[in-house]
Amino acid sequence: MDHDIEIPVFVEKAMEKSGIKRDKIRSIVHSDLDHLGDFRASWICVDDQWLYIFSQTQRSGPQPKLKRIRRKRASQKQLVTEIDLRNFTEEVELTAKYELSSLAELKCEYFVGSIAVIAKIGDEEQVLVRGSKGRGAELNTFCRSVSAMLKPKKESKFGFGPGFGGPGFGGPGFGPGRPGHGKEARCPTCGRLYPDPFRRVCPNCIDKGTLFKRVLSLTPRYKKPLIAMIVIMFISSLMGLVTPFMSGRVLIDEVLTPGGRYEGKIGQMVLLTVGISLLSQILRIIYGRINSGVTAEIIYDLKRMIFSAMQRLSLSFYNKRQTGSLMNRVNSDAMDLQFFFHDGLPYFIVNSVQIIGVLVMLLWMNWRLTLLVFIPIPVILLIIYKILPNLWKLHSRRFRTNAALNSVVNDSLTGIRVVKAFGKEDQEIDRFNDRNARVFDVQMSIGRLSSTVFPTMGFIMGLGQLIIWGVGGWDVITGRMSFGTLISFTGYLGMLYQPIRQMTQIVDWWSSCMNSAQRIFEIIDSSEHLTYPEKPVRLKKIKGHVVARDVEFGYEEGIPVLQEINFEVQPGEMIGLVGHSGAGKSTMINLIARLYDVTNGMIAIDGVNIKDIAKEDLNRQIGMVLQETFLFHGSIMDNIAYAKPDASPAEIIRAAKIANAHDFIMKLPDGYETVIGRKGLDLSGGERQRLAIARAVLLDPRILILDEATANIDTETEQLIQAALEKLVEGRTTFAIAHRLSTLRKADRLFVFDKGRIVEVGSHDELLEKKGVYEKLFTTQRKALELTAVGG
Amino acid sequence: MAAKELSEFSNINYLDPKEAIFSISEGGLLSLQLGATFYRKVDLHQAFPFSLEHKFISVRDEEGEEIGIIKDVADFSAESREAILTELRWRYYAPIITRILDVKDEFGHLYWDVETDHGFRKFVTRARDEGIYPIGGRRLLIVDMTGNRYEIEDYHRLDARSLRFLEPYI
Repeated sequence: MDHDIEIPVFVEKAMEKSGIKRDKIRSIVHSDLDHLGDFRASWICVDDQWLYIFSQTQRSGPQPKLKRIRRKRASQKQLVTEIDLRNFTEEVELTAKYELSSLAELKCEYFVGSIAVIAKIGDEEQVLVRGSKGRGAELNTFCRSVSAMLKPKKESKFGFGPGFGGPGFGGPGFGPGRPGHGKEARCPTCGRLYPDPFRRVCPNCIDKGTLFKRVLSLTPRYKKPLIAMIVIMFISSLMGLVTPFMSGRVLIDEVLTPGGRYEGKIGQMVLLTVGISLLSQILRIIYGRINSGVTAEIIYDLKRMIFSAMQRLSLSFYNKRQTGSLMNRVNSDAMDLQFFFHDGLPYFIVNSVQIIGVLVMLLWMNWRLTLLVFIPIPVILLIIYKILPNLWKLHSRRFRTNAALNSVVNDSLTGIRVVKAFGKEDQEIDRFNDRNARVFDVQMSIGRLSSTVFPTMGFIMGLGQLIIWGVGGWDVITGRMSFGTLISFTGYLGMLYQPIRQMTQIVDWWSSCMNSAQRIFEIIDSSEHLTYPEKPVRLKKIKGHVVARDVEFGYEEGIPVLQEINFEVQPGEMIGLVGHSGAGKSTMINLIARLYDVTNGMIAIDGVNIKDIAKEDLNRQIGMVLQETFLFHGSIMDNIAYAKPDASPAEIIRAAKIANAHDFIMKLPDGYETVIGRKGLDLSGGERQRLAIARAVLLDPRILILDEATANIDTETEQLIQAALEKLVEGRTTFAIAHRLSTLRKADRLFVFDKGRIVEVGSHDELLEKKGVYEKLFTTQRKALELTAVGG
Repeated sequence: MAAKELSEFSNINYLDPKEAIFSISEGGLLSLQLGATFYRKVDLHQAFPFSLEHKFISVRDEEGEEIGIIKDVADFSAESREAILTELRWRYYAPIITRILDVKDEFGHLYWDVETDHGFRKFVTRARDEGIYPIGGRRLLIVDMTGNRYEIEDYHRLDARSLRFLEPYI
């Protein structure tokens, strides 16, 4: 079926030995724990009849030559980089086999620290292999594809023709997996593990040149100023090289020395020096002005680009990453790039020009002495590479301990009411003292280390100077060198060490900048958008016929939240979704509104897969009223008109009236122009909710989604909202989730969710008669309500 | 609101060590014989995985409903105890790092190479100390990018070279 299946050579060998035909293998997956929990590679694979398990057999000898083996294998593009040959050798044997016909299902079970692949054999369940968490995605895909092989093909429950299913429909196949399903967990070039196995980027081996070009290509209109900046930087650093020459060789040897070429011309000398320094200041000013303008604009462009890219990403992108850290990352990455243009690039140019220029001058003036200058450099490099990193680590530790200290202060001050109420002032003081002591310790270490390292470095650099004075002084006395040359020499020497020190950090700095750029591009290039077809189906007026067929969905690989969801909803029908929290109700409506795409199966509106419907048609005609109403900073009017910015004032008032919001809005001093949200007026939960309803009314959607629209609201307000909702629901297909089951009595049908499946369907009365899950839910809730009524 | 009586929420239902017999099935799964009822497969969840690993362990059936709580593993028979501990080892699988061969701080990630009680292992954690959690005393939990967990029981008992690798991050 699939000829591209990669099988490691040594597994192939074991297959040969056991008489298994390699080309019959339909799927193979690698795992990494044995029955004792030791790190030992194993492979499960299937052909048409059997499921085989192979494992490494021999424990390694004491001296595995890891590098050699890895390089050899990598060139053959084999799987071997997955296993650590320090633990076991590459000898593999067949350890178990099962007849496929005896297996009912294969599934992955996720624990806190490991994963088990479990097979259903008859009525019994059996652990086939265990693996570490990193194996999850691949093991799960394997289990699903094998299970799909085991199951007889299901008949379609609905009368849709072929070609109706979207991509990926028709059961999990062996086709190309999602990113992260590849075989290699390591960079094939340098053998490093990928930091994030789902993002196969090796920070060491990203093509920094290309990236750099791309960074520059972001900003084509800045090409000229950037080139101008580089040229100016170049000239001004060359001019910097003139100064020691002037003050030594020229001033002392030629001006102050009798018989010099410019003897006595002190005035001209001073004027010349003033001229040079004036010129270099002017250059510096021009440079600074161009630089600040350009970098600000580049960063402005970058941030704009990143933000708009982020807005286009699917919600699932945000689920995988914490929004806060994402925002920080974007900001700090943009800062890194700013640093790149603002400081890094000029530093690099100045330093290289300076190092090369100084060396040329030194060698030209006295090559013998120059070689002596190099004596302390190895020691300085040693300090830079061996000792200074410790200092940087301490610095970052100080940053962290300080952050910890601040968070204690922040916590206990914002929570001061709680602290006081429980009388825990002393405990808070202790907590503070503890963190404070840590900051103190780090501070001390930094102080000690830096007051040792820097004077030492200064001394060693001073040694270079002393060598020059000694040897050079001797040369001057013996007449082999002029006094002015000696002065110039020491002047140049002073210009050498600092740039060398900075250049040693350039590599790090370059990597980190390019890594930032890479992450920014990752967001810009991310494929985690919901994809829309090139020629979407236009649905100008949705009727509201909604069908779900074999829908399956999970926010995370291997943890399905919804399974085997099938339903058909007629236009205008009102559906209530009920069930325990976490049963999958909210997820279901997120799928209907296409905030996420289903993992398997399909949802169709008016007979069209929602993946094929034009985005604007879907957004315009599906309205959501959510439990948590987010109000943007702005006027009430703007907030109501968020989904339809061109709405007329009359439309907005009408919508507010339907939502029973008009009256409270009119009581506000500024009416519809009252500013709410951050810094603005704080509205109550019920008021916010009614604004959200008004938002939905204004949109006039064909399909309405209400997620706990009446939660957290007092009874009176609830009635107002309930009345508003009833007006809204009229004539629209509605999906409503409600905490209080009584509010769903008006629903035509209820879908009862339990553990990600729909377990019961029917009207309120039908379901009560059925005495199933719903009836249980309903009676418990009524009892609880009675209890509170009595208690209250 | 779950379909339970309110009193069910407040009572802790401890499993009686005499009534509850745990065993590992041939297939490698934890089963429970509780009086007359046999649960073919049960799950264990530690309430205090760091400080009281062997106490207050919730036992749940395949549906995720709590059957009861093990107050202390030590109260159970040797066979039951062995089965419970085996299951816990898998569920909270975390090899113990005995030696650190290398920790490289590169590109905003830490690249580890360690020896554990289950063999050699290389892994990557998030920047700096983000994957390193102190869990009481000198015990550290290290969680790598893919969610694997490793433990250092007492970092002061590591050899000097290992400690030097770890030092900047604790």
